[in-house]
Parts: sequence; structure tokens; C-alpha cells
Amino acid sequence: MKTRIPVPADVPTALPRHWRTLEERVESPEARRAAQDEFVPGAMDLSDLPAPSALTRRGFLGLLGGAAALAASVACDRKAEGTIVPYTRRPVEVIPGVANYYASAFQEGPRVYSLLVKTREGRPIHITGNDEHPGFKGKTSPRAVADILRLYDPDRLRGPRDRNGSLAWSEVDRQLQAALSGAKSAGKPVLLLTGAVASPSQQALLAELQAALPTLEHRAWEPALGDGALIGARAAFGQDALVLPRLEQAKVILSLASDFLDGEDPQAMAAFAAHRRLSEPGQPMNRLWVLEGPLSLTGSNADVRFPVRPSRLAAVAFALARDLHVRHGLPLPVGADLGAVPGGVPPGVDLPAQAWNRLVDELASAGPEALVLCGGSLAAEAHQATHLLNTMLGSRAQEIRPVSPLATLEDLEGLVQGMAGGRYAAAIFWDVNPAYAFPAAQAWKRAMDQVPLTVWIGLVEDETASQCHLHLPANHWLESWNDYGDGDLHVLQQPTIGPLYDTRQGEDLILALLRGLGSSVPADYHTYLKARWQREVYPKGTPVPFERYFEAALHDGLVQAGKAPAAPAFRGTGSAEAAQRAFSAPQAGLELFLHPGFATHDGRYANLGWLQETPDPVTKMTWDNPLLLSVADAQALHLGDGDLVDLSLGGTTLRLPVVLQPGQAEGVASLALGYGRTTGSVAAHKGVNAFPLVAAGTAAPFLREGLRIAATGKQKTLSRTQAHHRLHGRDIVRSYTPAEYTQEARHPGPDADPASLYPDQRFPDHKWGMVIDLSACVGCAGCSLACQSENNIAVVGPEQVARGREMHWIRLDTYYEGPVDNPTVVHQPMLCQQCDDAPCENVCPVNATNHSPEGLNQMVYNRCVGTRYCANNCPYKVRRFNYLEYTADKTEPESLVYNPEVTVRPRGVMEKCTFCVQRIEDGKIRAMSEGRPVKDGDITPACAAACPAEAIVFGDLKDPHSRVSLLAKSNRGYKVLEELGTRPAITYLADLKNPALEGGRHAK
Amino acid sequence: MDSLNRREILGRLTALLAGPLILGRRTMDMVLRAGRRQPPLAPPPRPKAPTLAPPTRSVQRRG
Repeated sequence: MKTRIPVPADVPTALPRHWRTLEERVESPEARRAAQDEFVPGAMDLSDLPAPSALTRRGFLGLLGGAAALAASVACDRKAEGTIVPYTRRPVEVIPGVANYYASAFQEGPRVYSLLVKTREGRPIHITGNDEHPGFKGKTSPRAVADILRLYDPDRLRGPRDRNGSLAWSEVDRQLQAALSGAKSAGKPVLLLTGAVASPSQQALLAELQAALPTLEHRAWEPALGDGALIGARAAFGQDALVLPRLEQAKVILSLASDFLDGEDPQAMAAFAAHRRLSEPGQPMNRLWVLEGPLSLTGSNADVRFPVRPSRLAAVAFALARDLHVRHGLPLPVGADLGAVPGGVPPGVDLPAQAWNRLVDELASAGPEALVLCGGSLAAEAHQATHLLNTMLGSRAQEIRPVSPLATLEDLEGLVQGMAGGRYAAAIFWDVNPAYAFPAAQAWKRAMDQVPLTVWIGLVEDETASQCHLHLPANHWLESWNDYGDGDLHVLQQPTIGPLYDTRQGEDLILALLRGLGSSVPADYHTYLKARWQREVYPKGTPVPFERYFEAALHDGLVQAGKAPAAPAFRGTGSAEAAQRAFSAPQAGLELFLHPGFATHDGRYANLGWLQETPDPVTKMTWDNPLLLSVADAQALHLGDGDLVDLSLGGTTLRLPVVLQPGQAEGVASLALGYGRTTGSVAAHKGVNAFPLVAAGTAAPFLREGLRIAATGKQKTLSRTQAHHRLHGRDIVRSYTPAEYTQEARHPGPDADPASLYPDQRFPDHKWGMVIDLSACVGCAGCSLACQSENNIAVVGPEQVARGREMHWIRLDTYYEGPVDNPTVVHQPMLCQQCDDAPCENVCPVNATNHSPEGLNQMVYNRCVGTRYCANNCPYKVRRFNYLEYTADKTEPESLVYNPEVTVRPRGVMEKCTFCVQRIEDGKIRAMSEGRPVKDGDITPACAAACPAEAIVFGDLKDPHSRVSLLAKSNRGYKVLEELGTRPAITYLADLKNPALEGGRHAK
Repeated sequence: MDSLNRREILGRLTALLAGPLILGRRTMDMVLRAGRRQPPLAPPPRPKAPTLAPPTRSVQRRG
């Protein structure tokens, strides 16, 4: 038992007081006790191990002797003979021990990510962004990184089958040919439902299918995109379009419940962070205003934030447009009419007049350097008003990119009616899961029963597959060819591994359908794609032969050709009607805000353990989607964290736990989509499916009113990490306003590095160190996912997470400051600080953890006997212990994702961040083989490589000119708990907020 | 043998059985089966693991 130190009566007052849990905020005695505890209750509890029996010592020694004899006899037995089979014909690409990289691409809805895939001995093992991409610059989304797990998902369908069992592809072709030919001759429609089509070649192929089968009805559907955004774009531009923030030029950003920093858009995150990385006080800094209901990751990075009911945000946007027009003379676009819109703060919005006027003035003053962004869950009117605002401002900080038409829920309802009425001869579902994501699941199932032939194409059999006649396994994107249009870029997707199973790429299936319908098409999609490139992308008259041109494009993963499609023009007609709807009387009572899950999106990632176990960046929930309530609402309903409630809305009732979320607007409940799947060995029965709560056929399907919450009197244990690994109320995290930064730069605090009894460490060659800029870090958890992939970090499951046994080497600590209804937030990545005088090293009885001559606090797994003294003595709580065996039962294909350069740790072993020592060694070997010293930038750990905001910088502190050395001397720099004399190798740069109002931060 | 009681006989028998076990079956095998030919290896069972094949027609970035 750890000795408890009495809590000092005087809490620190010189710096902002940060808190992590509501108990800490109210400073209950329980919170004070909990803050003193090293570990979550239950983390050290070994009650899940078999209870010791009542053996006598004599009996124990007898058994020990017997066991020794048996062990000796077994040890002397002949080992099973294994066979190591070398390559008889080694593939020319594969050199054992040397990584290969392929440029490829990943699609999520209408978004496309150009990637670099690392392979070892033919296995893709790690994904980063493509460094050749001018926008992403080597960064990508956490979900793209995690999707490598889907390639090795043991649940993948390994060959085609129907309801009776396995089928041969030839039989599949025969059945499909018969069905489609029959439909064509009978003139009966065939339904093809897909995800968003972002590939020009795929689009051309589908056009050919349409020509060969005129009765084909193709619809593309993205259930998490939000119909509000689609309908709003159609009203504003007359077509479907995607808004891409281009924040390089943005001085003032207003987010209306838009979570543009959630990791989906690395380009926006990089551009936003670039204007937050100040080296001196007084330098220009962008300002982020956020009006939203639930606290989002973007809201947690806001300079000024106000909680507002999401249903009122459309009125807010129109009122802003009206005030910009009337007070600042910004011209209205042709056709726009705001005559009936009242000025000032709309009714039902709790925003001080001072803040409102300041916001209007700042937007007007920034003009083209201002941008308003609207969240996908908001109503179409809010999107329409946002497009109007940006047109009035003449914003240069966005790109409006036309996208292929997408279906709304209303369109889906029409399809369901058609299916139920026997309209279709066949229905093909390709990479979509409407049986799960369509709100009226029963109606969907009844409609499916009326279709003579239903075909599912996908990777892991899902809810839709279970209702289909034919199940056709598709290639993973890492086994596939494709291309994507990305502005003026053409991005290529190429296979990085041959198909693992008897699968076909979806496009090859379409080619087979075309052949069956009598079309003359190439033998495979690769040939089709290449021919299209030669025809349409390859610049005419260039001296480079096409083969070389195509190879160069594959090598780089992209090619710049032609012009980006022109942005559609804004049309103001319909704004008066939209404004009228936006100002309709606000309803009383709770409203529900539905949004795509950070980990699951629309449910497609729910079977990926890495994502399920990554704590939500705001709530820190894993493996579940609780109902988020404001503290005030929860108190009014007499609810606390983990209380199970029955949520009823429109005939649907869900039982789920409640979480009290600081910053949540009063009167707003929120719930993530993408959970509650019924299929998939990882996904099944994790959380609840919120899609039945989506309102089909409205302009705001993700916003609902009239929900009822009834307490059940029951509790659920939450797998939530917010209170884990607390660092007890010390000066852990620093956040400055510009005035505080100026003061700190002029009068820096005393150096807290105390004298040490230990001799100084010597580092003859290198001293590796890191700088983490809290002002640039947005808390997206991209670093954590990349670390998990690089370092073979185990997934432990919700029960173990609830006991504080999650294994992430780098975690994102979220600190709040200020009132619970609207706090400011700082995110702090916390990992092993590689202390020079490491408290963990001194207490290890077997020298399993020790210091390297390059300043690394290294672990020797073979020596570790699992005393856990090191974890007890680590003040940063960054050591992770394998309480159970998480990896031994992993076989192929799951084990194929492991990085062979990192040991897979068994039960009973302590582990922690190594600064990616394998990458350090790799960098040194490369430099040595080239006969030169290691250069700054040669070595990048996985977390730094993945960070879209470039908040993490790694390098050699012995090199005075290295980036890390220069940043470590920043006047915002400090070391966490340096007063303990640990001498960490990580320097944090204090967070900066840029409040617009007197009194700092979100002051009212 | 007459001087041995049943307990001692059992003890020696146990030692006789335990000895080869403790010394190792491999050693006993070497003594008892010296010169005997090993049976040919049985064909390996069909692997359940997927077969890894490099992609065809892809272009790698750097090795």
C-alpha cells in the first residue's frame, strides 16, 4: 500500500487551476483521496486470478519437487521438429529485414487520403500519410491508420457463398448474369446501392454498367454525412458539394458545431495549428470562436466558446449575416433576402451582447480571411446560412468541391417503398450497411424480403449481408487498384499485398457483370484503370512514354494534372424561406444531437479494436456510446455518471449509460452513431445503435426534439479513462493568454531543476529528446493510434479498461479549467519522459529498466519479472503492465499486423514508450551505410510522424542546431514535474489561448 | 532379494521408472534406438493461415 501524503491545505494559485473530473472540480473528499491513489481501484486487484488454495508448506514443497522433476523430463524430451522454409524463388521486391513502402490511397465517404504503406516481408504493417501530397504532407487520419486492422480481420469472408454454403466464383457469375439479363429483357429495375463514389474510373465503370443495363438504379449513400449538409449545399449551390477548410489564410474562424479538428481533415488541422505555434509574444495568432451544443474536440480548442442549443444555430447564422449586412455594409448575394431576419442575438440563445458584437466586428474586419464552418449534424438551413455568410465575407479560407450526387434518407425511403412493392428484380449492396444504418430497420427487412435476388459485396459479413442471398467477399483497399480525384490531383491506389483470400475487388465484379451483359471490357480493373489514364489523364504530347508516366504516378501515389473542378457559384434564392424556418419558435425540453462516432464513424470501423479502445478525445469513453448530458440537466434528473437510463423518442427506446460532460449545453443530450452493431466479433453489442433515432425525411435528421429520459435505478461500469493516471494537482499543464505569455516571457519563473545526488549522466554520441507544443496539439489521438500500430500495443477490452489497465504508451490527458458549464480545455499528450534520473530505474530489482548511453530509459523485457515497482515509482504514470495474456492467442491473420522490429510482450511484463528505439536504430544504420552522421530529421517516432498539427518534434539534444534543441529553449517551455529532479527529456511548450473578451478565456 | 521389504522394492522400481524420465527420454531413445531409421516426415497439414503474396504490378517507393 502506498503511503499517503497529507494533502496541503493551500492549493496552487499562481497558475490556472486545472481539473480533470467533476469530483476534482468540487473538491470532494473522495476526489482528494482518489488524486492520491496511484491507480484506479481494481487495477492492482488480482481477484480475477484463481484464488490461492489452502496448501501447507510441506504439500507445496512436495508439489514443487514433483513439478521440477516433470519439467526436467519434459525439457529433455525431443522438441517437435519445425521446418524453416527459405524462399526458393524470392520475390524481387522482398528483402528479408528491409521494409518496402508503397504509395496508395484510402477513401472514407467523399474524402480521399493519399497514403504511404510500410510493408515487411510482404505484409503491410503501418500506414502514414503520403509525404508527396502537397496538402497532407505525410499526415493522415487516425481511422486511415487503423484500417490496416481490417485487412487482417479474422472475421473477413474468405470466399463467395450463398445461404446454403460456399460457391465458386463461376457459379456467382452465372447467377448474376442470369438475374441481370432477365431484368434487362423484362425491363425491371436493378438497384445498386454503394458508398460515395470518389473515383473517376469507378464512376466511368458504373456509367458503362448503366449503359449496358438501362434499368440500373444506382444510388450512393453515406449515412454519417448528414442530410442537412447535402440539402443545404443543394439549396446554396444547386449541387452536392463538400466544404474543405483552407485555414492557411484564416484569421478568424467561427465554428457552428463543426468539428473540423476531429482528425478527419489533417490539412485543416495543420493549417490551424500553424497559426498557434508562437515563438515570441505579440506574434499574430488566429482566433477560433465556437458555438455548439455538446463539447467537441474543436470546441475544446476554442479561444471563445459558448454552449448553444444546436437547433438555434441556423438562426444564429442568419442573424450574423443580417448584422454583417446592416451594421458593416457587407453586400448580400443576388437573390438573398434577409429583410425579415431580426438583428442581434436570436431568441433562445444565451450569448452576451458584448460577445455577439465582438464576433460580428471580427468577422467583418477579417473579411476574406474569416471562415464560418457548419457541422454536418445541423439543419439544412444552418448550412445554407453558412454558405451565405462565407459568400458575403468573400472567404478565401475554404474550397467548395463538387462531389458525385449522394442519396438522402428521403431517397432511401423511396427505395424501400420500391423494394417492398416488388419493383426491383435484384438489389446489390456494395460497401454499405443499410440494414444497420437505415432508421426503420423492420421496414427495411420487410422490403428486402420482396426482392428476388439480393447481393452483398463487402469484407466482413454485416447486418445487411445476413439479409442477402449472395455474399461476395471483396478485396481490402490494400489489395486493390483505384484512383481518386482530389482537386487538381489524381491520386492512385495500388495493392500492397496480393489478395489474402478468394476475394475479388468490387470493380472486378462490375466488370464481370458487364461481360455477362455482353459488353466488351478489359479482363481486370487494373487494365481498365490504366487504359482510362492513358486516354484521359496522360497529358497529350508529353515526351515521357505512358508506361513511365504511370509508373512515376504509382511511385509518388499521385500526379498533378489538369485543373481542379470549378467551385459552384452561390445562389441566394430561398434564403428568406430558410431564415423563416430557422427562426421558428424554439421548443422547450431536451433536444438530442446525434453525430458520427470518433472511433466508429457510421459503424464501419466498429470491428477494429484499436479504434474502439482509443479513448474518445473529449469524453475519454472507450467501447461504448453513452448519453452525454450537461451537469445541470443530470442534476435535475438526479443522474450521475454510469446511471442507466431509458431514452425514448418516437417509439424507439434505448437503454444506455449517462455521462456528465463539462461544457455540454443545457437542454442538450448527445449520442454517437456507429455503435450497437449485431455482427462482428469485436463490434457486436458494444454500445447502442442510435440510427433508429435518426429522423428520416427532414432537413435535420440528426437533431431531434421531444426525447424522454427515465432513470432505471441501475448502473453500468464505464470504460472511461478520464480519471485514470492522474498526476495529483501539480503544475502539470500550463495555458497562457497573450498577456500571461508576455508576462512569463519577460519574467520567467525560477528554474525548478533541483540539485541531484546522482552523478550527471554522460551521453557521448546522442541525447534523444522531444518537444511537445500544447498550443499546436488539438488532442486528436492520432499519435496514440500510430504508436499502437508501430509498437504492437495490445487491445485489452472494455472490462480491463474499466480497471485502468489500458496499454497505450501515449495517452491524451484532458484538463479543464473554469466553470463546469463552459470550461476551457487543454489536451496534453503524456508518454514516458525518458528521465535522466529516472525513478523507475532505481527500483527495478533485476535491472530490466535502465538508461542507455543515448538518454533512453529502456526496457529489457526478458529480464522483467513483473514486480511493478517501476510503475509505482513513476510520477508520470506512463508504465503499462501486462496483467493478463493479451497476445499469446493471436494467430494469423491477426498476428500479421505486428511490426517485426518490436517485441510482442507477454503476460507479467512491464512496457512503456521507447521513443520508437527501432526507428532510432534504423536511422543510425541508414546514416552509417551512407557514411554520414545522423542528420536532424532523419529519425521520427511514430507519434511525431502521425501528428497532423506537428505538435511533436523529436531529435538530438546534443546537436545545438537541431529543431528540438532550439524549441526546448522556447520561452513557453517547461518540464512536467521537474521539481522532482527526474530530469525529463521531454519539454512541453505551454498552451496558448487567444480570448476575445475581457477577463480571458470564455468569460461572459 | 529376501532382505528387501516391499517398501524398498517399490522405491527401487520408482527410481527405475523415474530415472529415464528425469535423464530424458531423448537419451534413452539414443541408447535403445541407435541406428534405427527415422520414419519419413508426414506431409504438413494444410495451413490455415493465409498465403502471403506480393502485389503484382505495383511500384514500391523505396526499400
